[in-house]
Amino acid sequence: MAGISSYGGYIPRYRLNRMLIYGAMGWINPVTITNAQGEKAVANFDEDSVTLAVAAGTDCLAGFDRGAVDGVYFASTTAPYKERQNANIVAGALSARDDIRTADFGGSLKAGTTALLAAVEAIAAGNASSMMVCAADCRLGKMGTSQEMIFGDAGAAFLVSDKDVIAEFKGSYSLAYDFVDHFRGAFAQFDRQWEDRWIRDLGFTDFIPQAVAGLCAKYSLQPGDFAKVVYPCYYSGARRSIDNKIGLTPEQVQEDMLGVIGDSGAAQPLVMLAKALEDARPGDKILLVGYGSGCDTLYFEVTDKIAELAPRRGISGSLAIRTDLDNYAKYLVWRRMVPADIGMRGEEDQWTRWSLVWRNSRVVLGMQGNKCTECGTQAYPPQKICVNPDCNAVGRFEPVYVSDKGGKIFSFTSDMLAATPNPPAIYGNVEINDGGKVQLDFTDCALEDLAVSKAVDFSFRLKYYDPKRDISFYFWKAIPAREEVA
Amino acid sequence: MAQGIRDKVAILGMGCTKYGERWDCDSEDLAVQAFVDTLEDAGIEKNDIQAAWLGSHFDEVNIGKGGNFLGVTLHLPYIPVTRTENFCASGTEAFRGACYAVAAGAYDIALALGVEKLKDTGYGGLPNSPAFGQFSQMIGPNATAPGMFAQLATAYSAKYGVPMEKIKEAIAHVSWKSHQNGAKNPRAHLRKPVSMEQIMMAPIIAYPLGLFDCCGVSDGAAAAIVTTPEIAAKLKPNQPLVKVKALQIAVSSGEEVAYNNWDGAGFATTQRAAKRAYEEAGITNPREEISMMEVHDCFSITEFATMEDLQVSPPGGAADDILAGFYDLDGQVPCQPDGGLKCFGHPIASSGIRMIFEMYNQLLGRWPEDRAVKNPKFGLTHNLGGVPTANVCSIGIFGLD
Amino acid sequence: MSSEHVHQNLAEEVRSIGGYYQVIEEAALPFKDREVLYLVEIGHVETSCCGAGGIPFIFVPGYIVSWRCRENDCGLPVSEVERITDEDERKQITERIAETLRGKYPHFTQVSFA
Repeated sequence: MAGISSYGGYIPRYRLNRMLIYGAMGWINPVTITNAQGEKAVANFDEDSVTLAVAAGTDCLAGFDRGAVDGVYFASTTAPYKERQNANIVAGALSARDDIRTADFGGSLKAGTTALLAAVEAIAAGNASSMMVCAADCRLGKMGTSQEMIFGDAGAAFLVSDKDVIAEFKGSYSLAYDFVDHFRGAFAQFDRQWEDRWIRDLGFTDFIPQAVAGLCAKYSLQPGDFAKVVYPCYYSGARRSIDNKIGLTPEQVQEDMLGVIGDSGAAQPLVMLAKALEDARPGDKILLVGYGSGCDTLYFEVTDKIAELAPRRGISGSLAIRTDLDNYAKYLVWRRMVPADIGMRGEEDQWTRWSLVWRNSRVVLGMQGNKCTECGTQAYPPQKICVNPDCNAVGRFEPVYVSDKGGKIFSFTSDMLAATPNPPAIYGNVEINDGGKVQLDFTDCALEDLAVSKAVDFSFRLKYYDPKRDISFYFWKAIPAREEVA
Repeated sequence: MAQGIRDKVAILGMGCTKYGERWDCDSEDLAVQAFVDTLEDAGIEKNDIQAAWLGSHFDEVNIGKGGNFLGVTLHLPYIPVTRTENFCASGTEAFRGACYAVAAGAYDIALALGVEKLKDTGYGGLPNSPAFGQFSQMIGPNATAPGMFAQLATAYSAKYGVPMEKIKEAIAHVSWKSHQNGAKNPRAHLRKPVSMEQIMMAPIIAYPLGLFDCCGVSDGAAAAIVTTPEIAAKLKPNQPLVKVKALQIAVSSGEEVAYNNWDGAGFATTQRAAKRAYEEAGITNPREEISMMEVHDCFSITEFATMEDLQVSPPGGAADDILAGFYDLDGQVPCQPDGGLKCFGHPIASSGIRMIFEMYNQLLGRWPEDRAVKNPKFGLTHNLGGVPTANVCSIGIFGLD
Repeated sequence: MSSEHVHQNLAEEVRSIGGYYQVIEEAALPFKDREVLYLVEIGHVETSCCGAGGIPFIFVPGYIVSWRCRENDCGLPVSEVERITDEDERKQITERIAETLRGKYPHFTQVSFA
């Protein structure tokens, strides 16, 4: 049996009230008021599609053996690299093995569903027994556009495997159309779109029912057979037409969370699916639709195993961890839409030395430390000679990943002088659980959230961006451990 | 069995430029000023100098690497010049090199000079060169020194149960005292007393460190010529000899940063270096025997913690001593009689030699009454370079014969 | 317990070796039938070895007990204030000040108590 064995979600902590956008930009395009309801999730300045995907993947893998993962697929239309496999960064951060299959899926908003389809088919074909699919997007709309209002940042992840399957993969049907409703050329920063009515009426309202009909015909199903139908469409008026056209009752339709997250691009259908699985019951048939340059439809059936999956943060838990981004200009700077001065030090040229990065690949991406086999002392970063002064054994170590261990705050401070797009910089020393101490940046917190001895988790983040060479470099930061929202 | 440096080396002459924003000077000008003064004080000729050590840290961006800068600028007669770089201990390291050469009998007379022209490194301070290497640059926090040192305060408070308010007041007193002293010193960069109120209400840079708790960027140079006590006595028969009693360096072992055995409330390096220095100098009760100190007050909290690491204040007792005026100019152990880093200034590799310059002149009774330490016997200098979790500490003890 | 607050001249640069600060404004916040004295300050670290930056800062000497009741030796006015030590009151006052200043001095959110 091939299917989904676990799911995870991640919504960045910052939420931008759309009226703030309207207040700042409504003067140039007043009609965006029609999209100005609610709020959208915005990635922190140190987050991007890769880190969102890792965060969702981490949530998904909680309680699972990372060494068992046979492949990592990453889906996004906002991957930081055109050349350098983004999925390898995700795989490294998830401490996956080296002998795995990785791939980036992009080029279309249905990249998320296509990646999921590829993964389940690899399992079904017997070529792998466990695959990770991580999707995330951080699309940008130009200032003053409806896209700017609609697009939100989010990630979702699925563990697809042949055992302990909670949602069995039953079949798929796809359509491919060179229907250019939205596009970005190879060097474009912002989304461009054709006329709304054309996208709405010929795109979403036509293709989605077509794809659903195709799947139903292929597997002799009726739309009424599905407990939930998950499809993206940011035109709320069109959703009613689509539902009618397919023949869905309101209970069957998965909510798109546009008012609290926004449309998360290639991740959108997967974010909605992760949310649907939170509430799914054994026997439920779930239809997943991806839309963009055509459609993918995937059909799942929820199994008894869903009751055994340990509760995870998921989309709901992640949504509950929020703070207002109360400043539109800050959003622009964080998303690199406008330049801002962060002082001379901020202009220091930061070289990335790739040979050094490669030698320390696991250390940096996976937060791999080491543990002395003589005295058991754990350290991060890994030592060459045991740091325990009573041991000092040379080179007798076994590797140990500490990224999921968390730790507690040893000391911390907030710093008004450090060059950062989000001052003050907050950082400190963290005692890693099971031993070792490391100095880390803190993120997603205010000074008031911190105290000596308080528990922290580690979060994979953008460490720096080198605009001169277009390099996104990643490392781990500390974030206050969150009480789980039940 | 190693004997140490005690009484094997005497200071023949010293010089120190005015510290400050020396927009008028190159590194070369500063080095020449310090050198000429030192040579004059020593009463010897340039050709008498047999070897030289040059301390420079960030000034590498101005003067380059190696020892050439000093040989070429001063036109030294093809003698060995060695450049020393060890963070804020770079100047003391140059001095140590010269002293060890003399003590070893390899040379009779040696020069140590530290120079730093920081105002040419760019607005807002020191260049952000990777002080701890490229790997640490990749994973280390986006940190500045105030933030790293500020963490001492919270750790100290947690360890000794001393309230943050009291620490804040004590470190304000540390700054207040240095400004009082610096105001009287014509060589000091900042010559302005400030009130406790002005210090206490200053904006916070990195909690709990405020504007007056952090040092600045200065240009300057300082130099020393050292020789054997025998030669010094011959050259200066009518002057008491200032002898080197101890020179110690301690560098972090990596335990502070990576092992869970450090309390974060003080400096593991200073504690070790102090112990060794007192042994070398034959001092058994530092609180009673040390007459005066120039310590590395890069941040007020550094000076605060150092008082205990040097065993002058008892553990947990620094705040009480500081607030009681123990370290004021008229207190029992005056600390920073010249104004310290915070008022005299901190051209990095010059600072260690500048501190020795102050001790040397105090011991010789050369300063006017209003800033003279009464009857000093032992003067101690202390540098701390790096960050609390990874640093170098240098300690020097000097005394009259 | 009351203590003294010495009023600094507004807009005067109080200089340290790494930078300076100015008191831009002194104001009183009505709070529970009393008045809280607070100072709006801007710090500028422009010649520190540690980086550069501006620091918007609010300093709260305390509740006003006696307003500008005398002069000190330097001719600066002195008020008598009562320090605010209660954590709850500090929190409420911090929020109230930030609220009050939002329009006139945005980004002044760092509040420190004597």
